[in-house]
Amino acid sequence: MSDTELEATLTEALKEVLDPELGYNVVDLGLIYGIEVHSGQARIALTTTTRGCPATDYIREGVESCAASVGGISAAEVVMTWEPPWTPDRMSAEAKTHFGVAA
Amino acid sequence: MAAGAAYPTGSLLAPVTLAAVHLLTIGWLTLLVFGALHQFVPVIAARSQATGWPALLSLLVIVVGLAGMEAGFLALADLLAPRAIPLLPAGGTLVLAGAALAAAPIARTLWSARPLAFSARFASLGLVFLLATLGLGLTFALALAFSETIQWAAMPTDGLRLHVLSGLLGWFTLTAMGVSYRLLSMFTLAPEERGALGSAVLWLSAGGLAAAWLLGAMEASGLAVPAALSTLAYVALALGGALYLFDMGRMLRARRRPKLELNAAGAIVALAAFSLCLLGAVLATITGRLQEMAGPLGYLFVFGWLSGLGLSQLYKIVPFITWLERYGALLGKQPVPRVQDLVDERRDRPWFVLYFVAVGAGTLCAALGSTLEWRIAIGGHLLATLMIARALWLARSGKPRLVQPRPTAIGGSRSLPTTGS
Repeated sequence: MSDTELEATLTEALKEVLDPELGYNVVDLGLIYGIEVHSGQARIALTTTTRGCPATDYIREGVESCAASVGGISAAEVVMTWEPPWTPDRMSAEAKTHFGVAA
Repeated sequence: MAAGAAYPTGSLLAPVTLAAVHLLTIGWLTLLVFGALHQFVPVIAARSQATGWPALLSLLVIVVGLAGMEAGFLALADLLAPRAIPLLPAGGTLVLAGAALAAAPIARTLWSARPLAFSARFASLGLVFLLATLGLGLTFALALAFSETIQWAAMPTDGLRLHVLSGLLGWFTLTAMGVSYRLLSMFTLAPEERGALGSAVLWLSAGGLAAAWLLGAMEASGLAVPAALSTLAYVALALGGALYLFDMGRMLRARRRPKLELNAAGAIVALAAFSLCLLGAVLATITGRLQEMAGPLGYLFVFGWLSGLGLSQLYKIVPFITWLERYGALLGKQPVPRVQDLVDERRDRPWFVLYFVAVGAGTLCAALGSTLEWRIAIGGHLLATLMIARALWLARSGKPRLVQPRPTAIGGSRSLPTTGS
């Protein structure tokens, strides 16, 4: 599988990880700021809906462990970032519909 | 209270009323606010905070101290032997020590996070007023327990006013304002940046309160204070409260999550109770009936505003903490419930409705002096509180309503962990 295909597979896999408070997956919430895969090594940029969120470590570890379980990924590194800060505008159309957020 | 003790139109200085008031303000509200601060100052300040044993020790010391104070009050009411009276200042000292122990890590976290975020400024000022409240309270305890040797003529008037001002408005309300700004913006996806209006809320409410308190302290010490200056301080304080309510309305109208969860809906009713208290206090002051209305307004303030906000936020915080403890480490490894799956809003909504209706009815009965109706309302209030406590207990001990299905194959069907209520 190419790196690009692995990135797509990884993105789909991360839809299993949810933000516990909003109860929606981190991908559609727009909390994944970037995914790069090089030779099976994944690097994921992740944010939280609010800085200092008490669930931050758990979400980071959840994303890391989910990514590492994807076939073809040999190692996964998750980097937390809050720049730029997350806003509801980052949600997918599906998530916006779920929450009633105006597009 | 449902049994007839501490009726709010009675004297606030009656020992049984003091026992009930301190059970509520220390045993319920102070412990609640400390719990909230231990959990959310790290969020507000975006810093981690080591709580651990000082938090547990402070809880024990405060509870033991409060038990001593209660025994002292009951002895003053001739319900216990007079030899228990010195337990009042002894217990008060323990409460002060316990509060200092609880406040120290919170203050340290806030100090390390300078310049402070907007909501954290309210919490910091709240801690300052806590110290003033407890310092005054301990002085009262000594004066009540040893009235033959320690006499303070201004205690029932100016002293009591300062104690109530710094406690209900400074410690509880300023902290509640800061926490509500942060929590409600977070939970309703509303913009947290409050701009110039937010600064005006902070300066007017905290500045007005500090000025009113200091001027009151000067008066209590026998110094002459121009009445216009005191009036100005109270006007600033009231204006700060009104602007806060206006700003919260503005923030909630700008939220991106249109459907309100029960915790946010409850907070809005609590804000409405605060509005009624503010309006009632202003009208009662203008018509010269503040003394007469202090009991009903105090009841609405403590139970409608402070406890209403506290209970509704606990309805989110308790399942959140439970989720972190129970499911946090499983995230990404196996299906886990959402925080909201740990509670049942449909089951619990009627109890929140009863809670606020009973508090409203109780306030009205107290204002009209209807004793029997008051006790019936308090009975409803008690039942609703017990049922909300049960819901919080079930959030910690019960089973979640549903667990999201995990897709059988990665990258397969879009069986998203998104279904829910």
